[in-house]
Amino acid sequence: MSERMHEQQLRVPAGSTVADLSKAPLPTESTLRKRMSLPLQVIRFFVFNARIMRMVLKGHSQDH
Amino acid sequence: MADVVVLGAGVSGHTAALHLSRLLPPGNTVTVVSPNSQWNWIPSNIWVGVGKMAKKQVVFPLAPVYRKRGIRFVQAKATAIRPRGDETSERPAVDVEYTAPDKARQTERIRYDYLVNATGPQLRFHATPGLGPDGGHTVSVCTADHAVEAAAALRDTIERLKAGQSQTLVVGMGHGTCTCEGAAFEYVFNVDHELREAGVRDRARLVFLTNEAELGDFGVDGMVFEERGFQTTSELWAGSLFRERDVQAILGAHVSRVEPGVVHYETLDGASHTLDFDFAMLLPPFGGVQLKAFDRDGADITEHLFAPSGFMKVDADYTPKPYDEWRAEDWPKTYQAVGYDNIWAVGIAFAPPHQISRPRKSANGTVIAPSPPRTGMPSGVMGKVAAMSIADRIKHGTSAPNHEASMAAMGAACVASVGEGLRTGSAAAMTMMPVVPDYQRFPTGRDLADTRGEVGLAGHWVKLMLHYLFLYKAKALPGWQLIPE
Repeated sequence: MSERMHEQQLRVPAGSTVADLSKAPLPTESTLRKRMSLPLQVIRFFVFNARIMRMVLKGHSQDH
Repeated sequence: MADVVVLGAGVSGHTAALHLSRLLPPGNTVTVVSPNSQWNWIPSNIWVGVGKMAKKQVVFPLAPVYRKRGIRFVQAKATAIRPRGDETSERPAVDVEYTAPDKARQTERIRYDYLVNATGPQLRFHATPGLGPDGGHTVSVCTADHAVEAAAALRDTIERLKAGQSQTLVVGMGHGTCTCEGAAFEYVFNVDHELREAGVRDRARLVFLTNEAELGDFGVDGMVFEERGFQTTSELWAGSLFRERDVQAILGAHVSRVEPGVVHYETLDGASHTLDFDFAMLLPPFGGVQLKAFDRDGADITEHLFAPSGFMKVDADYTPKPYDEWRAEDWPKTYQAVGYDNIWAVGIAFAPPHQISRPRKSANGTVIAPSPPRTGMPSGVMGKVAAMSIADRIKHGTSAPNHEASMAAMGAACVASVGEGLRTGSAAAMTMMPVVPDYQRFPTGRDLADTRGEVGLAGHWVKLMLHYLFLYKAKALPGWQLIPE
């Protein structure tokens, strides 16, 4: 059991209805680094905006 | 020449009014009726609610913008619609009661040829005893003023944590039928960020209390993402973030009442529970504002125009049917009111045909299911579509076809910041296309090419960009119409 999971279990009162998230995937160190990497995030910024614009073009006007 | 009245100056109503001022030929009039003197970019209330932004950064006065655009602004709340006129005139009218300090409680009957109902939500804190900042025991971020109070309460909690006390912070939904789970999701991670920044996270228990049966539902029945050759779910994606940040989640919960320091809630299995708290930000359920409708002879026709929830009935299929028979076609396309071809209801004001999330009841019969969210992007589009339909009718006659924008064919973006700073910020950014899943067109309900979830610094930049872009647009500064809704 990781230290983080152990700490969480200590803080959840007995009989609690808190959801068991122990199976949820944790990001690796590499994923965490990528999330904050400036060059990569600049690319993600433009990709995200391009996706929004594509949705705007596809869905904002549905006139026939 | 025609008189157009827009009720409400939120995202939807304000967008409709600005486009009407652009599209209508001279001689036609546009009047906006809103009880608030200021426009509020509500998504940024989250940052106000953790003290990272001042109220003045998310609001601006409406009157100067409307003056510039030639729009009449009436600071008042609408109280009744008379769609066939009254005893003195056949012209339809809307009754308003002024809220501006210099005319408070004065009334006026405003005639219209076309009406846009964009009255937004009534914040129904009263649905849960003890909920809310006004006489209750919890804070809210629904309005800029609420968010300022929330920031102060959070600051006090952080001071107690710094003094060595352990604290439990609860963020989430204050009723089983709430909507805007995305906003609570965003707020809980902003609180987490604040606690970490203050160096007190280890003494704080942070709980997300939600009516969603599964994490990542967001009131839209969750999403399926395609990632690295696999299909994954928003449930797994959100669960990862909760686990990483050590935020505990209580799912499928209906808050039945709040007492000082204690939330009482029921879960889907029918069991009752309590949760002690030191700080709680719980959102209220939404309903339609209490508008009445009267026929010419004064007969009450409210139930013809409005659903029991107070939202206006439009061109949706309201036939009750089981979840498996819900279809994308049930959702409205034109937002024209039932029985009246000169009234539109847009944004939160229209009555959805049903939920988007799977409907659920507890073992006791309590409804615990998110109501459909209507975020900024769809609300803005609906406002623009109504404005375009009205402009066409005024310019080309009443047979001009309506413009369409169904939430079952329209996408939306939800960007939930989970930290701040241009180099250190982060956000969980989602796009979904369409908002209402269409299982007849897509096996997963949505287009996998445009339905994505990612976490990272870029999302924070997007959130910041949207903040400045939409404030710019709402102020009708040069080129505003080029910024898409």
